[in-house]
Amino acid sequence: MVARSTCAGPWLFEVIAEMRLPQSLLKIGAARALALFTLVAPTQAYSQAQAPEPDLKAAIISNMLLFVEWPARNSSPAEQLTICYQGNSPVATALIRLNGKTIKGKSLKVVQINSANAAECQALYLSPGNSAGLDSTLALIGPSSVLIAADSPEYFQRGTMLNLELVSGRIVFDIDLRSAHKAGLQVSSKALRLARQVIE
Amino acid sequence: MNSTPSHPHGMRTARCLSWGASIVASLFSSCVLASTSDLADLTDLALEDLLRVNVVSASRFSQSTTEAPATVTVIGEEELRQREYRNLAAALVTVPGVYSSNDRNYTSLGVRGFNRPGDYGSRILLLTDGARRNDPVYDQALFGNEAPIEVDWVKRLEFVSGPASAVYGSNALFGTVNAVMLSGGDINGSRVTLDGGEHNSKRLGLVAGQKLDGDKEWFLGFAAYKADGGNLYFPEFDDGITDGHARGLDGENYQKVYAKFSWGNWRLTGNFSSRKKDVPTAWYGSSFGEKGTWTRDESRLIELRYDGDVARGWQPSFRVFSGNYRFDGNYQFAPPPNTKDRAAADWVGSELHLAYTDIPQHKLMFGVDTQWNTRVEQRYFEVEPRTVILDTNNPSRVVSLFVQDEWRFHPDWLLNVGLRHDKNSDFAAVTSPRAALIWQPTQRLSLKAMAGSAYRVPNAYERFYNDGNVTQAANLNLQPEHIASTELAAAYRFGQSGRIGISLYKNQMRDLIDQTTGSSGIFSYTNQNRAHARGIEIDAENQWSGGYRLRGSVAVQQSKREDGTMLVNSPRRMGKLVFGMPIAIGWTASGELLGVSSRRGDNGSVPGYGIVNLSFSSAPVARLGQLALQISNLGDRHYSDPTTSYMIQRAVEQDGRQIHLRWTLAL
Repeated sequence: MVARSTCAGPWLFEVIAEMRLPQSLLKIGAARALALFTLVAPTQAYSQAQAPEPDLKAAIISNMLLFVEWPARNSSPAEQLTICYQGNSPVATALIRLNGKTIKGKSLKVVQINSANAAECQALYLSPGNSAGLDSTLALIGPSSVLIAADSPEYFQRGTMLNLELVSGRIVFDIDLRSAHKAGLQVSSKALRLARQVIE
Repeated sequence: MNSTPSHPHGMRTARCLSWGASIVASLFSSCVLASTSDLADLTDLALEDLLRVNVVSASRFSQSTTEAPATVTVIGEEELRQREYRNLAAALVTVPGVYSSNDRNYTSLGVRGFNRPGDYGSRILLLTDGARRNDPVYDQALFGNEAPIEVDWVKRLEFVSGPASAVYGSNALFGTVNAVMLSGGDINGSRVTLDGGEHNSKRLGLVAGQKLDGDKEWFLGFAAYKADGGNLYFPEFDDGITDGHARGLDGENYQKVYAKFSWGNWRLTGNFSSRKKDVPTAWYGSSFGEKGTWTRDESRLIELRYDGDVARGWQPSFRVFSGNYRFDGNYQFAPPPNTKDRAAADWVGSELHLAYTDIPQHKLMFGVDTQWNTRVEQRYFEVEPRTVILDTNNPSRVVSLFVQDEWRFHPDWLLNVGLRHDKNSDFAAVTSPRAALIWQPTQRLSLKAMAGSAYRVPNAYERFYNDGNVTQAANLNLQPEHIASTELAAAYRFGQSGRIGISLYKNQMRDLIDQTTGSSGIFSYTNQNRAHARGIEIDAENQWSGGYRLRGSVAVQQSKREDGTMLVNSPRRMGKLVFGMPIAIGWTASGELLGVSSRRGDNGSVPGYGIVNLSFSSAPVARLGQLALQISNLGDRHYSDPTTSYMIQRAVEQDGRQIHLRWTLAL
């Protein structure tokens, strides 16, 4: 579970206490202050599951692969799932860090691509900030049977299939079934039930 | 007689592409945030569980910090708002290895054992939202009350230790300070601050801003300050001629404005500041205990900036800017004539940066920066009768090219290489390289090996200033100084926002520009032999739920000249502890403990000191506002900073306990 109740506090103080503090610092009573803090610092850090937004979005994108069926013509080997991304963004970086991870017995490969060679991808994440080039990117990828994901609401209106959004401190997702079907993708009803909005 | 140590600024400015104003992000082009949680854990969750996870705002320890090719300290918004540091210097002295010196006029910062006498910040680069602020006459980065901006307007303060000329060119020798300024959307309204305290000091502050429809945003910050100053005693002047007391000679006032308007990809920024300070120290041989010796520093900057969208992998960004700096120094002499200094600099410049990200695993950045210092004027004259002693204008220009690549050749490994070539019209071209290898063996641990060189061209003041060779002579043969630096650093992140780091560094300077006094007692700036420093810094910090935070560091260093003598104003040890915590009924306490060991000075040594600063703030109450009590130097410790050859004092005593009350009303 992500919601480890991290008790980092006391650990930190142990480390600081073990450092050899210079005389000048000791003189000013830093050691005493540290000791005081050890007493008052709360030891329970988090009571609820929390994660940074980019990590959460990356995890949802990779998880979504379990709910999508691709047509047989997709060229990726069966034991591997490939997530591609374009551009630089916190979510792209979080995806890179998932490279090599195993999801439900399949190893995850994360690669950066140009719009032309999306055939090997099961999913493609588009970083925000490329609004101008979006239409041509979508046109190029169109026939490739790729789940196109993004976290820019504007992109969703213009034809991406999976939209992630931060609402009231949690991530929600929308699915555009029309464009998914056009690309030959089948999305499981379980994922559709969890979606905030399904466009049919 | 006198000269005027004032300030420096230089030229070009480099900064970066659009991804956020953060230095780390923009400059180093590692514009990605990352996380402190275990991403791997997340992927094991079911989809429905993922949708229930609460999002925490990106950790202060963004990946951009871990991936930056340098050791970076970030002072975040929460701490800046809660602690309400009185100026940039007060905030920056909490950074590992940074210390300040105040001569009761300017506050200069030392980094990793270097704070040369007569240097007013020329070896530290100050950026506001990525724009260079050191001036072309004195190269001065201003950090005390004389700084061009207020801490009130800063969203986060970043300090990058070590040389950064590979990105920024001249001046980025020991450190780079980037103040990421607030935007309208951070305020969405306005707040008024009234502050009063010791020595009849009064400050009025106004911050306002709004995010508007159609991708528009505006921000305005204004501040005015006035203080009468206390009475000071200098035993060196208790000589029978005067009684050693400087009464009512420490007054200060400033006015500052910062305005920013952005629409779409465009942003227009303007900043004006003017600070006047009475000088009580009788520097440069002026008369002691008499009114009439004072300085004024004024700076202006207007900047228009465009941050483009990515198109086929390219992302352009450019800025054009125009800046002015004015220095006004007035010196009272007995017997007359009194004298005045006037310095004026005007400059314009542009930067074009291009990022390219379509090569997998690479982030490339290219840049062309130019700055024309169209006027770099220094005048020194006697008044009544008016006799001109110095009148010189030395315009210059700089053209720079740089390239940088961040290559993630393996998911856990990052190589960051940068190269910058600067051509200053007055000097041979300088090429500054930097390389950093970053290994992240686990999600929480990162190890860095870094090496780079940096330089600074001598400023107009060091080269051309002379007061008729009474106290100071020019040196037209002065050459740039250089530093080569290597550093090993490790950082371990724990919990959501905990971090512990260690850094080992070695700096080698050659042709160090230093104030030297000849046999006739006249000083000038000359290139010295080598000097080197090595040291270690350990820092740790954490934040806990409920508003508890703690940040501490110890730094130990040794700086020597080639002949084995220790550098002046170079403390061997420093310790810092910064904290914030809730107390009761909505009040919070925050503060810091600062310890600095003894320092040598040109005129004598000063002992080490330890001081405690404390703040108590109430919770903001609608229509009544927020109250804060600030106590600096709680223990009323007597401590001093070393002086330099433009003063006869052995040391300058710093302020004892000071109490200020601050009231802030959000509208």
